[in-house]
Amino acid sequence: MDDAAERAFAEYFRARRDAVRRTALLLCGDWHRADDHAQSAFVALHRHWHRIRDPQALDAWVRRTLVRAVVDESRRPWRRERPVDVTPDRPAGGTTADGVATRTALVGALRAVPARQRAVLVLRYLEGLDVAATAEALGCSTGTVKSQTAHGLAALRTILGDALDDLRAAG
Amino acid sequence: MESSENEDERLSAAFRAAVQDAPEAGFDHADVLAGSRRLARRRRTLVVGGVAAAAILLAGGVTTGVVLTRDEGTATSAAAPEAAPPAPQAPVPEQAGPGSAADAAAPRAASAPPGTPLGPATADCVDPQDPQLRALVDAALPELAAATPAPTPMICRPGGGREVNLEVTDGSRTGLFTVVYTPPGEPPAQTATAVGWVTAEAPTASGGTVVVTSRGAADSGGVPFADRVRSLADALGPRL
Repeated sequence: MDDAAERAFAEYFRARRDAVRRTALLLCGDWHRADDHAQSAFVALHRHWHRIRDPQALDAWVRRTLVRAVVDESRRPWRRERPVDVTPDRPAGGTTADGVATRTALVGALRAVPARQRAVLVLRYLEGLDVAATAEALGCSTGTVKSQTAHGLAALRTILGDALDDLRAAG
Repeated sequence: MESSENEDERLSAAFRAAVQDAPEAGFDHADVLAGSRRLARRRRTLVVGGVAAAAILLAGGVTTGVVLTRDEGTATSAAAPEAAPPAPQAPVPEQAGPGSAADAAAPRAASAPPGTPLGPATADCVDPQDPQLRALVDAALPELAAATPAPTPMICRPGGGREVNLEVTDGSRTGLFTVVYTPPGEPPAQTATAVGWVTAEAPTASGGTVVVTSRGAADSGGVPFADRVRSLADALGPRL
């Protein structure tokens, strides 16, 4: 890339690194893997930088790369996610008194949600995408996004119980 | 009673709160640039090596030096970001022109005797656009030769796997087309059962497994090359 393009990439990286890391965290569940995925997404972006003409498309491109990587990884045999018999602990007391514990519980609960449903929830509730944009990012229909959202929220509710409503109230 | 919109807003706030205490990042701008350059160097090496190996096998005795000299331009252009797929680099059968009757019936590699199986890759990290596997895929299903590499990060893990991830168009149908080779001793990539996906798995000559998957994009109207997935997996098996 030429100097101007490198500067533009550096500026974008500075502006978006932490947001991408946060999305990656909720997608995969721990900061180490989140950093790995986020870094890989930025490396891929750097290699494709000159091909992305529309600056408005950068976020969508990175988001799509990130989600695809995490979902694909969840299906890979060496890190395939499997259903668990014991779900993560619910926050004690089901109250929002301990906000940190509740937030930690949300991250833990998301890890127990199937990868595609988790991706839908993260894109909709962290990234703030609407149904159509979520469908575009995941390469599926809007109907699938709606059903995955419902299933994902139901899974969260099963894991968190009343704490999910507490999370909503605490939000 | 609260509206669904308010509930969504509160849930969004909870999601944002869950990630507000981020630790210091484990990578910086320099790490990204180093990773990008490392990938570029590796891709150049693979392409040059693949071109040389293919040319030697196909020409049957042409010296390595001549091959490298002849194909230097091809390697350079393919090493530039994946706008264009690399030229075929692996032992592939002689090809008929696109649109022939054989194309419509089955991937062309299926009707030709396979050469030496490609087998596992040697690098530690799986290249999501393995140039040698891409050459085999293009040879077996020429409609994919112009397909754009899909934005997929490199995944670091041992085992010598190979992948090709493509954004494809098949008439009005668009989607993601993925070929994953898993070497011997490794469990195969999981086959998909989701709506809008077509997948097929086949054993390979090197004792591994190849899984071909096509996923329709949103509102694509169908899964691209759905009727070619099975035959492509069968065609690639003897060559991998």
